[in-house]
Amino acid sequence: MKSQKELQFEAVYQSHKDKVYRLCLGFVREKELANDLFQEILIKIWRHLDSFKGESDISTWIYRIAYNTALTFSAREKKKGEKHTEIPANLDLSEPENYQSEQEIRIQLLYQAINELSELDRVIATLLLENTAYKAIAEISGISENYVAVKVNRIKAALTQKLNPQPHGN
Amino acid sequence: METNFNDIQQLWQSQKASNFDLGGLIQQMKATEKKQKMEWIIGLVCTPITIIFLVYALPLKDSLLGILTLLIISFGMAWVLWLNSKSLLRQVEDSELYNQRDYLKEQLQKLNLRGKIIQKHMITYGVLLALAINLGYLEVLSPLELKFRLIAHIGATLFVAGIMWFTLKKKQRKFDVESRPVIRQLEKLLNAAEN
Repeated sequence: MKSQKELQFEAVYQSHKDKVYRLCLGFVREKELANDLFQEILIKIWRHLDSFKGESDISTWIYRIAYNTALTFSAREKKKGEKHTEIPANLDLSEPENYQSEQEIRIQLLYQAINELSELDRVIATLLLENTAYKAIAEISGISENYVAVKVNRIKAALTQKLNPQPHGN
Repeated sequence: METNFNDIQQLWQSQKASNFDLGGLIQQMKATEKKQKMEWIIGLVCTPITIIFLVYALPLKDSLLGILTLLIISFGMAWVLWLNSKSLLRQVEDSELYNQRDYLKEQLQKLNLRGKIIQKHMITYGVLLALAINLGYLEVLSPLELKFRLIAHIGATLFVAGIMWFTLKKKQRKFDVESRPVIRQLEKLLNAAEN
């Protein structure tokens, strides 16, 4: 029979796995590394699930663990000389033949744009892409809500420009 | 067609996690927890057992020098245990309280402490250990000739110094390769977060 902790962990996993996985892809572009980071985050959530006191929203708690783990993970990976400009091995770079491959190329462009941001902007960008409220972004990142708003504008502009490479008249 | 930010959000959210063996991971984590608990219990039990062994097995407890030796050894062991537990990166236990900036500060503090343990505290521990052994020898070897006693004192001191030198070199090399680049990277992140 499953323990209470196992049931709680499975519920947390089901409700957050996609968001956490996307966060991993935002920090490390190689799928294998993203899977390693995903697993490291899950291990930390499991190990500290008992210490969650319910003082904050469970999503905020998970995001904090996930982002803090991602920051140290990417610091460790940088040390190993990871080339951040490399194109992920799992993505198809052939010319778009149908909707599927076109979408993959757009996703690749998006990851590239996110990867070009600083680590802290990357945190804000990925939270923003998950529709997270400014207040929660401020709580997770430790910067003021006003400063989040300033950063959000810059990030939105950078990402939109990257996915619309043609110059637009001002 | 121009892609607006809502389209980007939809594109981002279309990515789903691949199948993951959650059951296998849970079993693995339960096994690791069991092992860690056992190691912690063994560590907790071993320290007092070693001290009790030293008290009863060596002829030290009946003299002032002997008691001093035991006290220094006990203090040294307790100090090392305390320093090690302090340098462990246990930050996520309080993740509800930690935002990114505080987390980075905490990480840097712990990593720097690891460096300080190698560069400073381990040397102090080595000196304490050599002092304790020499005090114990003063008591235990008192019936022997001065020449033998001197050889024993010098030998023991050189032995401790040699072991400490090799251990420190090895640990320093590991710290320089593994922790120092991470410290630099985290400092950069912290600066960016504070500016």
